[in-house]
Amino acid sequence: MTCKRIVRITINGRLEEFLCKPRQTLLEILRDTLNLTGTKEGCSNGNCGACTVLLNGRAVDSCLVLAVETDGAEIETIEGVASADGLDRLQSAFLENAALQCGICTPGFIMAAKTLLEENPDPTEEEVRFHLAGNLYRCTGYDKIIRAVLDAAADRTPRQETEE
Amino acid sequence: MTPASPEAAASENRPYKVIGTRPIRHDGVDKVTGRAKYGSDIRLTGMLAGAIVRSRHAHARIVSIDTSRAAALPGVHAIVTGTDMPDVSSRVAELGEGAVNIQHLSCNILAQGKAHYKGHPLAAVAADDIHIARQAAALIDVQYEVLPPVLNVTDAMRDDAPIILDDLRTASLAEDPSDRPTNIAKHLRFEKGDVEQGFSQAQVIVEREFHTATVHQGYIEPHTATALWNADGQITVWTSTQGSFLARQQTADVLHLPVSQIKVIPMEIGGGFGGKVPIYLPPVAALLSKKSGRPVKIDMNRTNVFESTGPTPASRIRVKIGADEHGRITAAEAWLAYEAGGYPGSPIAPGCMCVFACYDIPNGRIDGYDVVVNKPRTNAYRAPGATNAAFATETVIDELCEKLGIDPLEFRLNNAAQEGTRRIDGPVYARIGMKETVQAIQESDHWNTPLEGPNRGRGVASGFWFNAGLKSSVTATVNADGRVALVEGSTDIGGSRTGIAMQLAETLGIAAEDVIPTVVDTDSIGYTDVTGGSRVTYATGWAAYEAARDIQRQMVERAAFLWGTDAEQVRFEEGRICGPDDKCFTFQELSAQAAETGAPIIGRGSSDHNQPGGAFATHVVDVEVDPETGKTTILRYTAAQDVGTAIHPAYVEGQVQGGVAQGIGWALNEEYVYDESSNAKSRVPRLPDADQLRSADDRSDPRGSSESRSPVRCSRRRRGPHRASAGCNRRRDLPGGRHPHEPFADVSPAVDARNPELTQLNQPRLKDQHDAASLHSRIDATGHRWCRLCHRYRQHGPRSDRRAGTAVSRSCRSAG
Amino acid sequence: MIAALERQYPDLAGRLVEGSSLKPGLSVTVDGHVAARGLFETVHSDSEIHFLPAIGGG
Repeated sequence: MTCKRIVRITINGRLEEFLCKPRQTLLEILRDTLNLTGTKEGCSNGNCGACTVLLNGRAVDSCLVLAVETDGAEIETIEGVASADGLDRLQSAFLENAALQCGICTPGFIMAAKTLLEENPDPTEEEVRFHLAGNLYRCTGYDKIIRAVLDAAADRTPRQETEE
Repeated sequence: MTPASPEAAASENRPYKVIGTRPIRHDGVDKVTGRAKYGSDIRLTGMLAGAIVRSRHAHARIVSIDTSRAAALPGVHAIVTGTDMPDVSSRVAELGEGAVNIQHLSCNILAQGKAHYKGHPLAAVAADDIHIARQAAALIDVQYEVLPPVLNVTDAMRDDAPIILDDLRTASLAEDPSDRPTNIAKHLRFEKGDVEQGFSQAQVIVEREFHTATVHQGYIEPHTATALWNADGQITVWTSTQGSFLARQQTADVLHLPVSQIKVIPMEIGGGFGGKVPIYLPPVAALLSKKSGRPVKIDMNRTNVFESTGPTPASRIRVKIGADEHGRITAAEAWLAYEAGGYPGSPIAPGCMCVFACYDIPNGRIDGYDVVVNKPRTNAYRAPGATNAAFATETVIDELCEKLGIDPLEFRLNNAAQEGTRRIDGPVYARIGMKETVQAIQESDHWNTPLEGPNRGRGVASGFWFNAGLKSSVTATVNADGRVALVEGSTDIGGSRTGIAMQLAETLGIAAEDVIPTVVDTDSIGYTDVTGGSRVTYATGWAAYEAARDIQRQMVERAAFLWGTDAEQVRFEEGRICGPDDKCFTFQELSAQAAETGAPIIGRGSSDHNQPGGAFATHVVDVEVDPETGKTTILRYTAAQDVGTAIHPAYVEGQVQGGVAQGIGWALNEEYVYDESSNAKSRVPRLPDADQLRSADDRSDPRGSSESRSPVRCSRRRRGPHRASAGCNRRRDLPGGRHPHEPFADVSPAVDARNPELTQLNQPRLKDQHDAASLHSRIDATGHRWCRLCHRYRQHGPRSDRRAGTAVSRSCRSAG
Repeated sequence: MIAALERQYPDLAGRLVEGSSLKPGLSVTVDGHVAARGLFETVHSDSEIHFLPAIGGG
């Protein structure tokens, strides 16, 4: 019988400790152990991107990451995107642009888009398309998601210029 | 005075204040923050995890199932097989949208004696966690007597075909029942006029045969159900479903229980498109719960979903249409055979009823066959049955136009169904919008922009789908602060609760934001039919309208009481309640007073209207085909849809765009590819594919064809036949000509004929690119591998520790 | 009305009704709209009635 391991992570800015077996994925731990069900399971093989979280700032499919390998890592999930001050601009842009229908893929898209805007605050449409290629959206034809991400980018860019 | 019906309201030409606006959806914040609870997010004390054993064979008799080793595994609490399912006689239940044979439903949920498709559930286990449950499932030993499978309608319809259901006989209204065992479950025939005479009058006749592939709805959220069979016998089911009342009814029928013994609590649902109308898991979870005394959750994974849940049927269709020298259709004939999967019930009926529905056909004959094959039992997928049929018809129409030298839009206009046209299946159309959608395309910038460049073609297609009415219930409570809590039973796949709230708000003269809609369980609201068939905005919206009128009546009576006057002296006008001597309350003012002056004001509404308009559409697409690889790039796409009045335009647009994306996927790259073992794979469009869609002018045209359309008649049937057909028709200008197969990407006989060495060359797909890490990934300085396309980690762990196919670190491997 | 049809076309009723209900899998339209009340729907002497397969949606 395999022993559980202690794993320590920082999740959404908070230090967290959990026990897990080596075979358990980060997705399973997030949802079942840490009760962070905002990250969704769509395919369990890295195809749909619904389980996208940020691992040390990089977007990953958490269904493909073993929990034991995140020891010491910083993880961000959809639950950490909004703050006490309200929704992140990306989140409100998704709502304003009606960029979700059933909403199951929305957390994954928001996490993936977040990394894009952090790396590239003023992406072209093509860049948005290709950065989000790892996320599947079945309800609508992607257009409103692109618009939402571009809107969020447009709102962020002037702010960054001001800060500079 | 409030109009007596939504149609009357529309005819008054009062400008809307709420309808047609774009409020933020009420469930939006929960969905962008991850708070919304979908089916698999449920957590209950003592909850066990369930796993299902599925058939490895497409067709087999189950000789024995030995569960002893699984039962001995520590952590296993219950095991069920088909023998645990109650005996249900071959009963057919009328469940709102078509008939269901309960025996077949029961066997599809857990096989009883025979496996009809690879992936057919045979047994289920409940254990402490999912890993133990899967381990136990692997220990269940099934002995099969493998039988020869039939995997397409042609083989299944042969006289010597292996028989899948021994007691199946062909049902037909036209013929006397036969006692011959068969795989043909049903034969439909519709006739109008004299087809032979009609063809004799034709100058040009085109007859073609088509094959379409099995395609899955592809919802991102797999099926899930959690059940608790309580000690008092009451069963609670938490599930993602398109119809909680249907799930309740089907579960009750299969378990042979009274319907009130079951409560279904609908969770948020991650896509359905028709595929989450039937049940697969609730009875299994319930039986496991009964045996274990604990709640049990069963989640499907992606493989289970594709292998075991109803995709839309593959089909074989022959269409023959004749037209005179002026381009008027003189006769049309169709022969359609749809795969039902392992049990009868393909959407052959709507396929037959839609195949020529766009046109005024004086003489027609349609034969349709529902055929069982060794594949998962098919189910609805947005305009079920119509898509296959329209692909065939529109392709033949296109060829007719070419032979006659007639513009394809002009041809459609000259033959368009309109008010008074009688369909071949019988009913006469009331006012419809077929011509208007064609004209919209004719007038579009897209159509009037010439297409230039090599290997490019333009295709156009029209399509039709019904809208359902059926039953819905709503209650609405006026709170003291003037906001209204709206309670309804239509599970919300794509924003419908907001559309329904908007209709209530419009009627009451309040803001959409002042309505708080909630989707509730089957004990908390009256019967409500499924979320499907483009019915919710219409039917549940109508129920909300009735509830709002009920509130208006009560508010009028309350104001009359407060003013000491008769209710006849008081009127409700656009959110104000006004009486004699210019006395007026705002809705908020009277709500505050009402709380102190009598019983709570609660509106009740229900509907079983069945007069929604049918939906027509015409689409045009420009494509470019690479003659060497067959890769198809969509250059531009324009959709004209008759939607009536759009309640929430953003979600109408979303429905159109989603339907177009799905149609393109169906036309170009989605299919089940079967080998002899009935293994299948499928692929859905991704963002870079949809790049081609974005650059298109995918403007939906929400102008209703008729001012008299009720505001609630908002057709949300966006997908449909037209896209696939338009995609096919574009090939007529290109090397290789038209294509009789869907999807096109993998099968290109014309290309193959010219370049036989390219037969095995498939257009690299994004999914393949992701999987082929060696092609597109790079290894960074830490030894981690990530995909340069989406910058996503594809594998993990230091390279030196990585085993092929896994990424277990050395330290974990040694720990076992 | 069905009784009248049965007189003209023997055995037809058995294909359309089961007990006091429409046979499962069938629906009926009266004057252009689906009869929500099935066999209890009111018909007039000049009503146009169609028996059609019941269809589902996606």
